[in-house]
Amino acid sequence: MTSTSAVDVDRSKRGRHQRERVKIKSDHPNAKKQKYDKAESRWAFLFISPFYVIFLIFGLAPIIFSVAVSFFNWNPLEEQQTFIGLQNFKDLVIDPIFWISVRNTFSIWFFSTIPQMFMAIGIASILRSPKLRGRVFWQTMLLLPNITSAIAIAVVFGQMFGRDFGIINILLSHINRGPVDWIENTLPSHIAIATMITWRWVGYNSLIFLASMNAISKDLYESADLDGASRFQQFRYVTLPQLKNTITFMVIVGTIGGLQVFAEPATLGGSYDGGTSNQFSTLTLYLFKQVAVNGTYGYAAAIGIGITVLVVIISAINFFITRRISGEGSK
Amino acid sequence: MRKHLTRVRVMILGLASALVFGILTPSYATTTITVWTYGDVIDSTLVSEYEAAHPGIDIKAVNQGSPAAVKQKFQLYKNSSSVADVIVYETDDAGYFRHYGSLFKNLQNLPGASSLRSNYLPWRWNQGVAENGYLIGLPTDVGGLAVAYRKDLFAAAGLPTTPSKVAKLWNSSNTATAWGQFVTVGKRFQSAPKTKSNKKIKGFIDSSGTIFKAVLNQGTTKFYSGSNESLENSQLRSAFNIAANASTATPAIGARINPYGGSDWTPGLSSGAFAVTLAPAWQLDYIIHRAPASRGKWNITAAPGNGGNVGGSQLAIPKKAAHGTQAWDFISWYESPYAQLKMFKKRRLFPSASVLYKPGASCVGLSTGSGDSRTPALTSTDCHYIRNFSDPFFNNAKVGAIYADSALDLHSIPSGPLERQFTDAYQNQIGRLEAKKVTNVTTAWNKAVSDAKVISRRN
Repeated sequence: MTSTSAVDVDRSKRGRHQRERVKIKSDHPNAKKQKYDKAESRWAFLFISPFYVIFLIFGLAPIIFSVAVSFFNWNPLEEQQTFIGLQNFKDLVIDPIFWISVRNTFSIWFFSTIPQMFMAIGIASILRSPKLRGRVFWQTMLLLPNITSAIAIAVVFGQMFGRDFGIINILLSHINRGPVDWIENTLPSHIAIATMITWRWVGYNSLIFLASMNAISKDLYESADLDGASRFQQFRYVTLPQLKNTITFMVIVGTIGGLQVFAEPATLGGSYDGGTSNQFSTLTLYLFKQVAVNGTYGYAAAIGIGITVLVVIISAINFFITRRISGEGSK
Repeated sequence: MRKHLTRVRVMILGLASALVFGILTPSYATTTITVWTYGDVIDSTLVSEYEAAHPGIDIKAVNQGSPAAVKQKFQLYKNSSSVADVIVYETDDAGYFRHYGSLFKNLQNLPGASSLRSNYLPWRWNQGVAENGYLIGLPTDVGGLAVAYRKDLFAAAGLPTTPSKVAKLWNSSNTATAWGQFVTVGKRFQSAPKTKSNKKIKGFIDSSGTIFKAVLNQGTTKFYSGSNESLENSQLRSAFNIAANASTATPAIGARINPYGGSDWTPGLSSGAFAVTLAPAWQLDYIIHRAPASRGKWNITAAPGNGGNVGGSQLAIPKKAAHGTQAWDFISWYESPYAQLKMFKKRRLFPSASVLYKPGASCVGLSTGSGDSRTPALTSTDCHYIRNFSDPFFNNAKVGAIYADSALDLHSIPSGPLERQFTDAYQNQIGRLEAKKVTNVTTAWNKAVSDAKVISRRN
């Protein structure tokens, strides 16, 4: 580092560097690993700074600002904003639509994440089958819904879920069921929205499952084969346990996505109300309504903080469950 | 040698590109006027005509998707020079923008503005006059309101089919009585025996909830009395009751198909799922284009009560707009009687420039604007066009005269910043009555009032 290439380096500086290295050596038992000296580590800060600078401007600053806004009755067109202390939060706790939105968000999350998991594992297993022809084609096709805009999907599915002329109700009528009002009724509307989300993400998730399935050691299957395990038993006792980490990852990503559901309910209802009784209003939709329709930015910020609190709680639950699962794994 | 060749090549390339750019770049500087709009308020044909007459002006309409999106963008950019030169706001938001007049240019001070007022419907014009007296926006089209009905389905149910006879079914001069008659006709229609021709019927009217806004606009008070909120006034209650009465009728008269944004409306138009829709003029174009096969099956007649309106917008110029003068030149041309007549011919957008159809208005020879933007003088044919217009798609209904009368019948209604949210709060309860999620009208009313009060308190 210091001796070979540094022909024209100032002697004294070089000497100091060497002294420092020596000092490190004497203090530190693992000093051999300490490859970089202080001057160079300063460069490291420069190189990692773009992320932090951008994060400060576009991440942290807005967060701090919106926390501040939540204490105001903030009307963007007024010159002066009124400080109202905790009033927005007091309103939020007793706001029935907020809690309906919480319920809807979790219900939609449940209907989109859980069935999707089973479907994705199933599709991935099919894609992995050696008998499948044109594998690359099928893998590519799976990603198509994912690169289609959520609004476009919502418009098309909105037509399919139409009460009177939607194809789903027409199909249901052939088995003497329905018609179901996919918008006015709470549970059907959640299922309709969850279907759109599933359609959009199931292919993507399948590919992730496929990748982690391919990473499972062949030896495991071979030994299972030798032990006389059937295909299904191999899937149940080899594939599934090996996918545990991926499943955890999916649940976390699905939860993040689930808390952000917006375009689907907005398009399905054609407004930011989420239906006449807010039966499919989600958290982000309700937040956005405060900004776009009501112009109550302070209350919107309070909802944002409410969502943050929920995320913290969910993350904590996730964390403990994940730790338990991985703890079991190591036994 | 090689070097020399390269230099020649560079020279040729340079010359060629200079030539190309010279041809492509116009010799004058281009001013771009940005318009934040939604839907199809800004029509490309009309914009092209304006641009052709004004070399150097480029109109850039940026569709924000919804009135709410335009509103939000304006909130964020109101103090920035990158705000649009023109914003489009829907009349439901008129009260909101009128409250913040100082954020807009006072158009009254711009050339030629003082003489424009008399050309327009007074109540539409006033939706662009701010509380501080500024003229902030020029009116686009007016929705008006009429009943579009299916002749074939009326006949199958034993109802009269000619417009004058249909209008007589609900012609009481009292608004509440007239709508009551309308509901009675709906019940009669629903009780008629199902035959082969009307078996696809889901309801008499597409959505009985649309009645609420229609009735509200026929009155003189909505949610404000002067500049104070008035959330329980008698006109509001009466409009709510009329709509609630229609929504809870037995047999149900509504097909619960929302004409504004629902996915079932377009197929319902063609298949005959409903016999009636309360149609603002701009909706006629939707029927023509979305259900071309139903040509000749529809007819149009006056709506119950006096007049009516749904929709319409205003074009306004933010205070910080970079090209205010040019923007004014554009909007005063774009909303001139001349241009509005063109939009009526092309898309049935009904002019708010009442000079085109108001009895006794002096329209012949009228030309607005100044300099390049002076519109051609209107001829006698132009001035009689709307009153005489009958629409072949709708069995030659006298569309022009019907909408003219409905628009002329309306009054200015005091509005305020929360009008849109209040409308939503009451409309939602009508929707819940319609969907039978609540059955008691008083319960629904109380919920609407309390929701509106929450909105009011939070703002």
